[in-house]
Amino acid sequence: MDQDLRGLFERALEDEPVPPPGDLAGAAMAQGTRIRRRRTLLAGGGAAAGVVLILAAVLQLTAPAPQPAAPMAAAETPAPAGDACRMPVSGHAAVAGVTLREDVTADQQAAIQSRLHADPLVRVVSFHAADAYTRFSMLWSSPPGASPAFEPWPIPASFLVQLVDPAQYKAFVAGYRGVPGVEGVSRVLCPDVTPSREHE
Amino acid sequence: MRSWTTARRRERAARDDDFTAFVAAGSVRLRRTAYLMCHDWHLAQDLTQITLAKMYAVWGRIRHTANLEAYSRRVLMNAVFDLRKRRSASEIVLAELPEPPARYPEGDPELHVTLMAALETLPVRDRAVVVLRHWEDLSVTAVAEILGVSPSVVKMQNMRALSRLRVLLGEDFIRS
Repeated sequence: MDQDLRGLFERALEDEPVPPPGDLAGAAMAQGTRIRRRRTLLAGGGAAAGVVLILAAVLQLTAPAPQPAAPMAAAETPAPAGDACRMPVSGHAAVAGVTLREDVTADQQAAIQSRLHADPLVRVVSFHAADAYTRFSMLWSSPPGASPAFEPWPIPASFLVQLVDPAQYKAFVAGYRGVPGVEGVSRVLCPDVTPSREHE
Repeated sequence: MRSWTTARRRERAARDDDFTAFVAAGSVRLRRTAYLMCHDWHLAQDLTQITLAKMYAVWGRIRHTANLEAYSRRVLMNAVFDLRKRRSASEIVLAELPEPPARYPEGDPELHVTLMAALETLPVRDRAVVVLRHWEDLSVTAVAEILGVSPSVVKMQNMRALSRLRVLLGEDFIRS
C-alpha cells in the first residue's frame, strides 16, 4: 500500500460541494471594511485612553500638594464632550450620516427623505446640502471670513440622522445599502451639528 | 479639487479589482485547505470568507507583497487556531479515535476517510504542518514562515504527525 498523502487528500476532497452562490469577493470586502473601521476605532480609543493617562500623570506631577483625589477624578471623566461624542460600543452609533451620490436626482433625494421620515429606527432627520463646503470653511478658518488656502470641491449632500437606539445602527445601515442615490451610510462620532427639527 | 476625489475613487476601484481577481484565483484552493483542516465544508466556507475579509482589511498594505498565497495561508491558519481556542471550552476533544483502528486491508477504498478522522486527532498545529507540507507541497522553510516557528520545529512536528498517522493508519502507510 504505497499511497501518498497527497493522493488521499485529493480523494478526501472529491465530495467537495459546489460553493454557495453569491459574491464571495463582495462579501469579504464588506466584512473587511467593517474590520478595518473597528480597528481604526479601537486605535482611536486606545490613543484617547493614552492621552487621558498622560493628562492624569501630568496633573499628578504638577499638582501643588499631594491630592490623589483630583487626578483620579480626571481619569474617570475622560472626554469633556457631549453625549453624542462618546466612543460608542462597536457597531453602535447615535448619529448616522446618509451620504448622497454626486449624481443624485431630486426624485431620489425626495424618496430617501420620505423613507427616513417613515423609518421607525429614526428619531430626527436633518438635511445638509452639497454646499457643506461653506460650513466646513467657516468651521476651519481661524480668523472668521478669511479665505482658506484651498479650492472648494463638492462635499456631497447628506442627511444627518439621529437614531432612536444606537444599538440599531447596523440594522439602519443595512436598510439603506443599495438604495438608489445613496453613496453610503457612516457613523458620525462627534457631530458638530446635531440633527434637529429646524433643518427639516 | 474634484479630480482629487475621482482619482481616489479610481484608485480604490483598481484596488478592489485586484482583490476580486485574487479571490477568483485563490479562493478554491483556500477553501480546500480549510476543509482539510476542519473536515467541514460549511466551516471551510466561513473560514475562507473570514480569511479574505481580514486580508481586505489590510489590502492596501499587502496587495503588492510578493507572496499573497503564503500570506493567505497564514491568515487562514490563524483563523483556524482562533476558532479552536474559542471552541475548546465547549467541545470535548477526543485524544484517540473512538475505536482503535485495526489493520486496514490493502488498497482500502475508504482510507481517505480514515485519514481525515486520524487527522482530527492530531494537535491542530501538527495538522497544519501536515496539510501545508503534504497537500500544499510547501517547503519546510515556507511552512515555518507561515506558522511563525523555526524550520526545526516544523520538521519535528511533521515527523511526530506522520509517525502518529502511521500508527493510526497501519504500519506500512506513508513511506517517507
